Amino acid sequence: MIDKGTLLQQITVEAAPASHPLGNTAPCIFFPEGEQEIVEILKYARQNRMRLIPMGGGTKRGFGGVEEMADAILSLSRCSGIIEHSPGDMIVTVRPGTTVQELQNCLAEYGQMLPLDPAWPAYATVGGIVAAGDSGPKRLRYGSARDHVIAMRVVYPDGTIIRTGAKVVKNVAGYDMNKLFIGSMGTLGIISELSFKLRPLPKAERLLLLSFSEGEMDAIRGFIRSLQDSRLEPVSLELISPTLAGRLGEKPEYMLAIAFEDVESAVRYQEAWVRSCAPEASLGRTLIGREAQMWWDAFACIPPYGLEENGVETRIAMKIGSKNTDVPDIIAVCHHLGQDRGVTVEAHGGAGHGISYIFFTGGTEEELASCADATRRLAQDRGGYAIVRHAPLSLRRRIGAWGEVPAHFPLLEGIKHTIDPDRILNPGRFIGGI
Amino acid sequence: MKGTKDSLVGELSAIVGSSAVLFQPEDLLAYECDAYTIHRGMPRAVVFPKTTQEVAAVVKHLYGKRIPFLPRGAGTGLSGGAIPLGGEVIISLVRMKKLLHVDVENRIAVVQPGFVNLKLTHSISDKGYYYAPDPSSQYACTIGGNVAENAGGAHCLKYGVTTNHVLGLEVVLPNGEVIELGGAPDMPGYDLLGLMTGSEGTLGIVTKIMVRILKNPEEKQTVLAYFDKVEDASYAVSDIIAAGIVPAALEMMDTVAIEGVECGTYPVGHPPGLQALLLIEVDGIAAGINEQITEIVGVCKRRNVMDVRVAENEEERGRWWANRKTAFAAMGTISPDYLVQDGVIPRSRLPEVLASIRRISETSGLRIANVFHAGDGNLHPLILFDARKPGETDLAVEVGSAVLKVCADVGGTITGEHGVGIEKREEMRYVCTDEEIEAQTRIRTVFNPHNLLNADKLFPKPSRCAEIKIIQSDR
Amino acid sequence: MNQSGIRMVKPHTDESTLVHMSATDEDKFAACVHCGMCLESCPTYDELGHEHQSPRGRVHLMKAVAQGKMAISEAFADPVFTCLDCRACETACPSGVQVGTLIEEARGQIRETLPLTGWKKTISRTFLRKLFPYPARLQVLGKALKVYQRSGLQTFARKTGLVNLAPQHLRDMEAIMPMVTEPTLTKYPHGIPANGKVKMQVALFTGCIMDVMFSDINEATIRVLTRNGYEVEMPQGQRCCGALHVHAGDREEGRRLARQNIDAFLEADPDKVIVNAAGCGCALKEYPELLREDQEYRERAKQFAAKVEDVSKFLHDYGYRKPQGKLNARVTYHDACHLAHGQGVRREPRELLESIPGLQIIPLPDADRCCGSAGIYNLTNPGMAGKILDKKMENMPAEAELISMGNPGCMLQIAMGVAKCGRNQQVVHTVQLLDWSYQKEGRYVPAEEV
Repeated sequence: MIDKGTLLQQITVEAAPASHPLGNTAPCIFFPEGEQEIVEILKYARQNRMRLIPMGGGTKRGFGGVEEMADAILSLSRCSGIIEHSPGDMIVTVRPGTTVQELQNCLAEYGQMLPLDPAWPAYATVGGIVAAGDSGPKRLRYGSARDHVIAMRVVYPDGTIIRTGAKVVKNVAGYDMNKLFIGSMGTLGIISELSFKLRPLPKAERLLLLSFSEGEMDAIRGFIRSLQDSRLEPVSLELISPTLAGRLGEKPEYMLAIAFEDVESAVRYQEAWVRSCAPEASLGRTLIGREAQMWWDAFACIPPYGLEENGVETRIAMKIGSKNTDVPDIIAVCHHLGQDRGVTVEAHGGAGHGISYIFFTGGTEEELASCADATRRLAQDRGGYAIVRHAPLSLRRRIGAWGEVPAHFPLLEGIKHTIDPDRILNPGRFIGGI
Repeated sequence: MKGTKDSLVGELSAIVGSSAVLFQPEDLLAYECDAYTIHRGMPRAVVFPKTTQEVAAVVKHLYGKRIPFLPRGAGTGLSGGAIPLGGEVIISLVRMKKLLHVDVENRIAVVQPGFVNLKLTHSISDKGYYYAPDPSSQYACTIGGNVAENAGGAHCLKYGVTTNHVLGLEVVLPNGEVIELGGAPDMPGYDLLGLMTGSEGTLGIVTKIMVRILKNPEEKQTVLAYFDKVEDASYAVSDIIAAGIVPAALEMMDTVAIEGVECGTYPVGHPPGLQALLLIEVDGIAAGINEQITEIVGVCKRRNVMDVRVAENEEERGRWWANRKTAFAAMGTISPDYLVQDGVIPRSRLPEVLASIRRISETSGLRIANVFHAGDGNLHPLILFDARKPGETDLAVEVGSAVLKVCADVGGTITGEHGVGIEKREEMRYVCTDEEIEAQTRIRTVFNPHNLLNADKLFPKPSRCAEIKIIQSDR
Repeated sequence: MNQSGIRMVKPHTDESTLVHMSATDEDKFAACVHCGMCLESCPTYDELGHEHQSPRGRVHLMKAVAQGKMAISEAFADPVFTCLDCRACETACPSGVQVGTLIEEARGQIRETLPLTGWKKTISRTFLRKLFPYPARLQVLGKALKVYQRSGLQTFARKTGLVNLAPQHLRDMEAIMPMVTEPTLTKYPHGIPANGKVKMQVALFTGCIMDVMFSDINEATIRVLTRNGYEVEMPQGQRCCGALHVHAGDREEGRRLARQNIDAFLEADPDKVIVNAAGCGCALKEYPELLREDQEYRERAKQFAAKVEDVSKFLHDYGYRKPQGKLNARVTYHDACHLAHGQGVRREPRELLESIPGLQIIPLPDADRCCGSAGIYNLTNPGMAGKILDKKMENMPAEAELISMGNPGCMLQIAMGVAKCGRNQQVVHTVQLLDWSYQKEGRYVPAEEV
C-alpha cells in the first residue's frame, strides 16, 4: 500500500494480490472515477517515478510484457458509461471502462451498433480493445478499431489532456493522432474518452456453416476463391479448425463460418448462392437472426483470457497476420502442430482479412514454447508475423510476446520517448520492451 | 551546371541525371503553386527521381546540406501542401508512375506514388475490381498525393477514406533512410502506417504504396432529387441515414453550385430555380437494392421533393457524376476565382450551418456555392471572388476562415479531406489547443528533426517568417 | 529576390512585349483555376512530367507574361511550341478554358517578339508563306514527290511490300477505287450535281494538302455526298485554311487566308460548308476567334463559321442512306484530336461505321489520345511526335485490319506508325469506307428508295 498524499484523497485505492501467473500486476490498484482523477494519478506517478499498468476489464493481462509487477494498476473500470450518443449522426462517445457488451446493448435500442466483434465482450472494455487493437471475424466487412475510432481524449503521462480527431466522420486537420494510440498497448497515454462512428444494425443476418473433411483443403481453397471472386459481400469468412469446431458443438471438421448481414432479400440471395455453389457435402446449418448472434456470442468466449481461474491446464493464444490466401495453410499446418507435442490446438483465421488465432492447450511449457516457435516461423516464412496474444508470464519471458523489432524501431522508441520520457506507462509491455 | 550558378543543380543532376532536374526560373514558375493559388513561392529546383533509391539519394544529399525540400505529386491539392515557401527543392514523384503489382486473390495492388488514382480502377476493372477512394480530382491526382492528404471522395460515406485502404507503405524518411510499414494487417508496433497517411508530406516521402482493392458491387443505383428548400434536402439526408441505409454516396449542391455546373463542361439540364439537389447512390447485392431505393424515394417525397428520379442506365449515371465531380472547377465559368473550403460538421447540424454560411455570404457580399458530401457532413463552400478586384482575395480568405469557425463551433473540424497545408495553418487553432499542436509537432520532430521536409506546413507557426528562409536559401 | 518569398523572373521592362496587337485575352485564362484536371489528358505532360509542359502550366506562364512577371523568351516559347495543340485538355477542362486558342495566340505573340532566324525561318517561310497558300505550287510538289498515289497507305505498302500481305478482301478496296491523278478543285470547277432529287446545296472545302495528296478522299466525299442528294459546289477562290500558320504563330498569314476563304464561300452561299479534314474544319470554325479584332470581317467570319460542318457530322445530322455493300473487315477508329476535342465529334463517325454491313468495329483504347501528327508537329518536334506515336501504336489493336479516322495528318502519321511496327494494317478515311460500301452495292440506289 502506498502513501497517497493529499492529492489523491478522493481516489479509491485497493490492495491487489501480490502476484499473478500472468504477471502485469501490482500491489495496489487505483480506481479513478473521471478524467481529472486520471490526471492527478498520472501527475502523482510521475513525481514519484511510479510505473503504472492501465487496465480495463483485465481480459488482456496475459498480453505483452515481461514484468511481473509494476508499482500500481490504473483501472479504468469505474470510468464507464456513455457520454453522448447522437443517433442522427451515428456517433457515440463513451468512457473507456464501458464494456463492449454494455455499449452494444445501449446502441441496439437505437438500431445501431459498433461494428467490432472482439473476444469476451461482457468483460472487455472499449478502452481495452482499442488500446490492444482487438478485432473479430467480422472485420472482413466492417474493418477494425482503427477504422471506427474518430476521436479520443488521452491523458499524457505529464497530465496534459490531448484531444485527437474530431467527433465527425471525416477529419484531416493535423496528424491522425488517433492511430498512434490504437494498438499502443497503453504505453503512451491513458485514453479517457472515445468516440466511434457507428453503423445501423443489419436488418437481417444469416450464418452458414460449411464443413469439410481433413483431406479437402483444396476444396476449401477453391470455394473461398470462388466466393471471393463473386460479388457477394460476406461479413465473415472464417475458417475454423476441426478441434475448435468440435468445441463449438459442430462436426469436428474444418468449418467455414460465412455470415451475411444486409436487408432480408440480399441476405437470402447470398445464402442461396452459397447453397448452390458450395460443394454439396459441405453444406451444413444456416443460423438466422438471433440464432446466429448466439453462435457468435459463444465464439467470442473461446480464447483464453486474463480473468480465467487458474486451471490445471496452461493455455496460450497466438495471433498471426498474413496474406489472406495464406490463412488456410496456416490453419491446417497449426492444426497438426500439437500432434507430437501432447498439445491440443484450436485455430481460426479470416480467409478474407488475414488475421488468424491459434490456441494451444495442455502440454509442458517446453512443448508449448516449441509450438509457439513453430507458429512464429510459419508466419514469418510467409511474410507475416506471429505475436503471443495470451500466455503465462514465464512463457512470455521465454518466447517473447512480440518477436523481432522492425527496422524502423528507432521511430517507435522516439515516439515513446517524446510522450513518456520517464517510462511510467506500462513499461516493457510492448514490442522491443517499449 | 550550364545556365546556373547554383552548384546544387549539378549535384542533383549527378544523382538523377540532368534531364531530371529543372532549375531555370521560367521552368520553375509552373511550380510556384498547386491547385491552391492564393499563396505562391518559388522552389530552388525540381527533381524527378525514377526509383526509390534516387529519392533516397536526393533526400540524403539535401539532408546532409540541410537544404529544405518537399514532395509533390500532380499538384492538385487544395490547401497548398505542395507549394514551396521559398527556396525548397521540390521532389516531384510524377515519373514514378508504375502499377507494380496486382493480386486480386488477396485484393491488393502495389503502385508507385505518381500513379494516377483513376488509372488504378481502369487497370483492374476488367477483372471486376476497383479502388474505392475517389476524390473529385481522381482523373489527375496521384495515389502518393492521396496518401499524403488522406484523400476522401464522394464514396467514402460507405467505404471510408484513403487511410482505410492503405495496407502498406515504403517511405523515405527525411534523413534518406528507407523503411517499410504495414504489409500484413495489424503489424506489431505503433501504427506508423496510419500516422504517415494524412501527414501531408511532413513525416516522410512515400515511394511505394500497397492498397486494398474492392470487388465491384453487384449493382449500383443512383437517385437524383430536386428540392425547393435547402432545409428539406438536409432533413432528407438525416432521414435516409436514420432509416438504417448506408448509401455509397450522398451528395448535395445548392443553387449557386447548380448554376456553375450547368455552365460547365458537363451540364445535366437541372431545372432552373432549385434550392438544392441530392445525388444519392446505393450499391451492393442486387437483390437488396430496390428495397433501399424505394425507401430513399419515399423519404424524399415525405420531405417535399419537387422531383426525384432514378438513373435509367450507366450513361445517365455517368453524366450525373461527371456533373458533380467537376463542380469545383466549373465555378471557373461563373467566377474568375474561387476558394474552396472543407469544413466538416455533425450531419444533424446541417440546416443551421448552411444558414450561417448564407449570412456570411450576405454580409461579405461574396457569393458562396455549396457542393458537398452531405452524408459525411463534409461541406465544400466555394467562395467566389475576383482576384483582380483590389482587396477581394483577402476578403475571400477571411470569409473562408469565418466559415471554418462556424464548423468548428458546432463541434466539427476545419478540414475533412483537403488538408491543412499552408491555407489553414492558423485555423488549426480553432480545433486544437497549444498543447495539442505541440503534441503533434513533437511527433514530427521524431521523424523530421530538422524540419527540412515540407517545413512549416500544417501547424500554425508565428515565430519564423518567410524572410529568414529566403536568406537561408540565398546563394 | 523580393520580400514575399517569390523570386521574380527578370522584372519586365520592355513595353513592346506587353503592348501587343494580339495579346492573349485575359478572360480566357482567368477561367483557368489551376485545378490540374487537364494534366493527364496532355500527351506532352504524360511524356515529360513537367508542369510547364502541361496545359495549366502553359496557361500559368501566359498569365505570368501578361502580368509582366515573365518576359517572352525562348524559355516561354519552348513549352508553348511543344504543345501539340491537340485540345485534349479542352475536353478535360471543367471550366471550359480554350487552351488551344490561348496557345495559338501565344505563338503569335512569340513570333512577333522573337521572329525566327536562319534555317528555321527559311523552312517556315517556304512552307507556310510560299507553298501552302498556293494550290498550284502544292500540286507541282505533290506530283513531284509522288508520296501518295491512290490511297493513304499505298505508297507505304508498296515500299514495304506489305500490299502483297494484305488479305484479298482488302485489296478489293484498292481495286474498286478509281485512279486519281488530279486535284478535285481544278477537276470540277463547276461543282458536281446531286444524284436524284436535290436535298441541299453544299460547298466542299477541298483543303490544300488533302486535295494534292488525298484527292481520292475528296473524290470519295463527293461521291458519298452526291449519292445522298447533296449538290456539291467547289468555290474556286478557296485557299489553305491557315491552321498550320496559326499553329506556327503566323497569325497574319492565317488571317489573310481566312479572309480569302470567307469571301470565296460566302459568295457561293451554300447551305453548308463540308470539310473532311478535322484540322481544317476546326480552324475554319475558329475564324471568328482569329478575326475577333477585325471590324470588317468579324461578322462575316461568324456567318461563315456557322456553316462549317465535318462530313461525318453532316451526314449523320442531315441524313444519309444506309449503305448495303458488305465489307467483311475489322476496323478500329482513331479520334482525330481536332474532331473529338476540337469539334466534339465522336459519336457520329462511329455511327457511320456501324451502319456499314459486315464491318466489325474493334475498340481502340485511348482512342482520343493524339497520334503525334498535330499539323506539322511531326516535322518540327520529331522526337516527341515519335514517342507519342509509339504509345498510339501500342494501343492499336493488332486484330484490326483497317484503321479509320477523319483527318489526313493523322492518316500519314499512323500509316508511318503502321510501317514502323511492320504491321499489316490499312489506314483509311471514314468516308472512304462508306464510299467503298456504296460502291460494292454494284448498282446505283437513289437516296429516296431507302
